[in-house]
Amino acid sequence: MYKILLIEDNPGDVLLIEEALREASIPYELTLCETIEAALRKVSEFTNDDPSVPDVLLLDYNLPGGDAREVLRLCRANAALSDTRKAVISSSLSPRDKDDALRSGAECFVYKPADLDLFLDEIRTAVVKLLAHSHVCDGEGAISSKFEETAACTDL
Amino acid sequence: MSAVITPNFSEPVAEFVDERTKLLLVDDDRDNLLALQAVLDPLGQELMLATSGVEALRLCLEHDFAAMLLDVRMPEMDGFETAELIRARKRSSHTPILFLTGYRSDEQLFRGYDLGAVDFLFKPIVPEILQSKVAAFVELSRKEQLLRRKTEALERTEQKFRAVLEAAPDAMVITDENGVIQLANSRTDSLFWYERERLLGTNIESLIPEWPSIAAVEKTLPNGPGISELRVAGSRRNRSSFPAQITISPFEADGRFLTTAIRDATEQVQAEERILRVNAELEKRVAERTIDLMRSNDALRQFAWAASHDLQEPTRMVVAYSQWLRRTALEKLDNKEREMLTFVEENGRRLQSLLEALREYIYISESGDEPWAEVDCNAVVQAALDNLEGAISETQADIQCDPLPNIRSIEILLLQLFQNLIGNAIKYRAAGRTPDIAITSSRGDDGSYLFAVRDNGIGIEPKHREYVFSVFKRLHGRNYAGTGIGLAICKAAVERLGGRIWVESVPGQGSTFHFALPQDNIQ
Repeated sequence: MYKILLIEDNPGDVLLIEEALREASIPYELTLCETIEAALRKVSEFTNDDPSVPDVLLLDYNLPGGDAREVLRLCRANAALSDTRKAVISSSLSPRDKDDALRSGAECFVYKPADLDLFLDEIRTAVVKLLAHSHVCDGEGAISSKFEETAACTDL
Repeated sequence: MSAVITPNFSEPVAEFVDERTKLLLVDDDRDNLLALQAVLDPLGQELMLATSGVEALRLCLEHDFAAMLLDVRMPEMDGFETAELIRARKRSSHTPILFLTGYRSDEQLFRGYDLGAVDFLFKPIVPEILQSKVAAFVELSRKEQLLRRKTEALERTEQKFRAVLEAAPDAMVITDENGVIQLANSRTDSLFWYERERLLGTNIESLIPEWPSIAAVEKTLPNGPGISELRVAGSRRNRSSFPAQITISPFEADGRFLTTAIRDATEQVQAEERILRVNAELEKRVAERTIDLMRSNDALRQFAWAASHDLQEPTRMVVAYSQWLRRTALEKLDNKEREMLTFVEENGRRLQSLLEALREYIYISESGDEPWAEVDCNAVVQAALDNLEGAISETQADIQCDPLPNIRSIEILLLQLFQNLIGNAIKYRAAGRTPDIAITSSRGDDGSYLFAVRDNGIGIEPKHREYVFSVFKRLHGRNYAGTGIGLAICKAAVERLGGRIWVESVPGQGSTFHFALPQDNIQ
C-alpha cells in the first residue's frame, strides 16, 4: 500500500486523481489536505519512523490562501520526509512556475491537461515515475519493473 | 527741441521762389515815376506806384515790399517823414528804403540813414546803377522768403513728429548716445510719474537702470540695428518698479541719437504667469489622469488575466467530467441525452480555447522581458509551418515563401505573427479551392521591413476590414473554427515590435495581410 499525501482544494481534481491511481492499479492510501495551512501543519507533524510518512506527495501549485512553495520547503526541512517523492500539479504551463517548483524541492512538475484521458495519463505516469524511483519500491520488483517501461523521469 | 532730429518727417521745399516780388516807387512827379518804372520794368518785378507819402503808407499796410524807392522832396509829407512812419509800422519796419534826392547834403544823408535808409540815389538817376541796386534787394527778398518757407515747413514737420510721438501707446524717449534725454512724450510722464521738464537732460538710466550699452544697440538685427522687446525693470519716480519691455533704435541726425520705446509689461507678465500657472495645473492634472488611467488599465489587465485563469479551472472540470460521463454512462443515455452531453463537452472545449487565446493575447500585448535578438525570418516561418503541419496536410495548402531577411526582433512575437497569419489564410480558404499562400518581403522607402501573406481565400468585405484586428470580433459563423482573436494577437505583436499591420482584400478572391516593422527597433 503506497501512502499518498494529496494537497488539493478542488474535489473534482481529487476524484480525477483517485481515478488515475485506480486505473494504474496502484494500491494506495490517500490523505487529503484541502488548504495550504492544513498541508503545512501536516507536513511539519511527520517524525522519523512515523508509519504514516507518505511515499508520494502531490501538491496543487495554485492553491488559494498561501504559497505552495512553502509546503515544498517545509518538506525539504523535515528529515522524516527525505524519502518522500514530491510532484507539483498545475494548470499553468508557465516555465517560471515550473522552475520555481523544481527549485523549491519538487521532483516532478505535472501539467493538468484539459482532456480527461490526457489528464489521467499525466497523473498516472507521474506517480508511477515517482514510485519507481522511491526506496520503498526497491523490494517490490514486480511493480518497479512494470513502471520502468514508461517512467524515465528525467526530472529526478 | 531742435528740429534737426526729425529727419524722417520732413517735407519737400521749393528751392527757389517763383512769385514776383513787389517794389514800391514813391514820387510826387508823375513823369519821374514813369521814368523809374521804365528803368525797373526789365527786372520783371511787380511795380507799385505812389505819388504821395500818404498813398505810400496806405500801400505799405496792404503789401510786403522787397524794397521801396522814396523821393525825398515831396509836398505835404516829405520822404523822411514818410520813411519814419513806414518804419514805425511793424509790417514794414524792415523793408529796405532807397532815398532819391536831387542834391548831396551830409545832413540829409545822416537823417536818411538814421531813418533806416539803406542807400541814397542821386538825381539824375543812372539807370544801370538803379537797376543793379534794386536787383540786389529783390534777390535778398527772395532769399528771405525761401528761408521763411523752409522754416515753416520744418515747423510743420516737427508738429507732425510730435503728434506721432504723442499718439504712441508707449513711452517714447529720445536720448543721445550716452542716454541723456532730449525728448519724451507725455506717456513717459504718466508711466514714470515725472514731470517732463524734469526728465529733459537727465539720463534715461534713472527710468531704465538696465538701459543697454550703445554697443548692444548697434548690433544688427534682421531689420537693422537696434534692440527689440527687451524685458527690463522700469523705475518710477517714487522708486517703485514695474516690468517694462523696451525697443531701442538708433538714428543719425546731427549726431547719434536713440529712440527708446518703453511699454508697461505688467499685464503681459501677469498673463504669462497666469498661463504658466494654468499650464502647470494642466500638466499636473494630465499626470494625475495618466496615473489614474495606468492604474485602471493595470487593474483591467489584471482582471482579464485573473479571469482567464480562474475560469480555466471550472472549464477544465466541465470538459473532464462530461468526458467521464460519456465514458461511464453513455449506454444509459438516449439519443437526445447524448446530444446534450455533446453540447456540454463542445462548449466547454470552446470556452477553453477562448480562454487560452485570451491569455495568449494578454501575454503578447504586455511588454514582457523577451530578448531582442537577430532573428532569421525564414526559420520563424518554418517553425510556424511545422506547428501548422496538421492543417496544411489536411487542406493540401500550397505555401510559397520568398527568401526572408534576418531582422532584429523578438522571435516569439514573430512566430505568433506568421503562425496566425498563415493559419488564418488556411482557415478562411474558399470552398472548392486549394489554399494558395505566398509569403513575401521587401524594404520600405524608410528602410522598414515589409512582409506580406497573400491567400486565395474568401476575402474580407470592406466594411469588416477595420474590425478584423479586434479581440473576439469574428466575422464568420461556426463553419469557420476559431476564437476570433488571432488577428488581434497579430496586431498586438506588431505593435509591440513598433510596427503596423493592415489588410488588402478582394472579397471572394483573397486577402493580403501586410505588416511593416521599423528598421531600427528601439529596445
